[in-house]
Amino acid sequence: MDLGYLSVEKIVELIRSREVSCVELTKHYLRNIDKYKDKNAVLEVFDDCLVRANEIDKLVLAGGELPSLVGVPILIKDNIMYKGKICSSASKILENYRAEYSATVIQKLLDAGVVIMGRTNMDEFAMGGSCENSAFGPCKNAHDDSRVSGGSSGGSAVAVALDMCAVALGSDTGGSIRQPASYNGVVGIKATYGRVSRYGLMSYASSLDTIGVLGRGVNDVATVLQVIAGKDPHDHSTDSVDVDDYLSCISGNISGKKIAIIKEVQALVEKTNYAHIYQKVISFCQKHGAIVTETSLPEYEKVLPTYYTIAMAEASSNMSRFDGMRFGKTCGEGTLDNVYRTTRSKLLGKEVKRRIMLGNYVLSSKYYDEYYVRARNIASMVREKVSRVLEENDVIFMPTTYGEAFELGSKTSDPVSMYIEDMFTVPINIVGVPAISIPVGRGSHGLPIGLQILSKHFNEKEIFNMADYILKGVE
Amino acid sequence: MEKENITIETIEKLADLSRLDFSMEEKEKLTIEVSGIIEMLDKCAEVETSGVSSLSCNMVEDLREDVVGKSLSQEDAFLNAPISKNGYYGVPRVVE
Repeated sequence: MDLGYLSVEKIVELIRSREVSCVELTKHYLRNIDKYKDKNAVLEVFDDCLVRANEIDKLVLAGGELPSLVGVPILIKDNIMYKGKICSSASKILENYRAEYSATVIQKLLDAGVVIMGRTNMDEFAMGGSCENSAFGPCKNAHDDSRVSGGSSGGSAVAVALDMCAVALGSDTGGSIRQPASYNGVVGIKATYGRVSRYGLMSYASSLDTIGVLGRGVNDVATVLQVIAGKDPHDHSTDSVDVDDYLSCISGNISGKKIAIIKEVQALVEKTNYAHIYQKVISFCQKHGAIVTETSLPEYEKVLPTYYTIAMAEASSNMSRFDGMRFGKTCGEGTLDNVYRTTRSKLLGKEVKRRIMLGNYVLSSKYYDEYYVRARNIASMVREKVSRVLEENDVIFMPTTYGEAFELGSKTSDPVSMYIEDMFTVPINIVGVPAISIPVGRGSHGLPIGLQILSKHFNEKEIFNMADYILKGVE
Repeated sequence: MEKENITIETIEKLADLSRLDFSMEEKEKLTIEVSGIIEMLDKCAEVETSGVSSLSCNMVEDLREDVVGKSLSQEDAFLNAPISKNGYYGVPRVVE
């Protein structure tokens, strides 16, 4: 039987009906992980994954009620903790760190019957948009070895694109799920901030960090989000608002839906070679009964610096826990201060150090009001305006990226040019709303181009319905 | 607000606050990079924000009851400590 590119639904059906064993399926993915090892998408295959798969097979043979994701083999980003396994955030400082407990999302997925096969490559501590900041080497694009996979969840996106798994977990602070999803031609959902517990996710910028899912179909990511979403007493930023039944909300109809596009974004899109791809999607939606209107967001161009001010400030505080004493590796001798300095200087990567330095700059007493407080105020203004647009419209359409995946090494020496790549994804984290990226075409280099669909807080169901309709309908 | 240029001294001050050491070559490179990034962040200064409250951040205030729950065992908590002994982390001598 051909096990290539199965959907989550199909996997569960095959496992339940015992047509395919979980061990057989896991071995299929392990073969692909090995086949594409030069992509550097997977940092480690967990040595007990076939043992777990065998346990699932026994459970199936025993009969009785089976959990919703029984036998689905998945991969997880290297910043999500799975008890007893190495979790390094692609950093030298945590190279030998073993998770003391499992993240809430991991426990929920294990309870739902998944097999966690391994951990995927990423930018160190999720700081980056190309997966070139990994201490263990860059992850290459699924479709072109000379191009970036995107980041920070590059490994998860490439793994899904090349069938090393059907679905993978990622995290998204400023686009880290959606941007690599776009660059590799897969689907990536970043849920509403507070929809999925962050307990057990290594922090980068805590007020923006979210865990989400990458997969090949809208149903796949919706099914997994269904399992991991919800209130968690371990994370007080999670919300108790009910989790919708996502699959039942995919109606196969977009007639009468209101779609907004942002004038300032549209002006940027029109300067690129990709405008026709987005226009095709908009025309398709209009043809099928959706109403498209243009709205203005003059603050749009200020969102990128706002994001970086907040993210770097929070990053510098979060990174202060790496002291070489409580966990992770240690270097240096002598005084306490010398151990701090030597450990951090030797074991943290360039981009992480840059963000720590800038975070300390914007938080310093002299500049705190000028940068940090101002950025929080702008974030607040943008949140209010976007929320208003989403009160009047069901969804907003935006490109996910400024174009196709760029060449490896082409932006590493110029951090600002790298940050500008995030211009379409960071506003969503600032506002806290959910957004998906779906592949809608190919650019002039033959590489995938993604569309972002966002909706109001906790309205993931609207996004899934629209995304599914477009993904199935647009050629 | 009057802003000072980013100099090697600024980088040294920030490195000290950040508990990071850099070579002179790295500091020179950082001076240029940090200046460029700050220039990008300065675009925020063009936005009029007086009268705006930043209280509506992403955080929801939904605290759980203050009851004792399960937590990590001491053994688990020390699993990753480079040095630990008798339930304490091992650190360099701080009191002479």
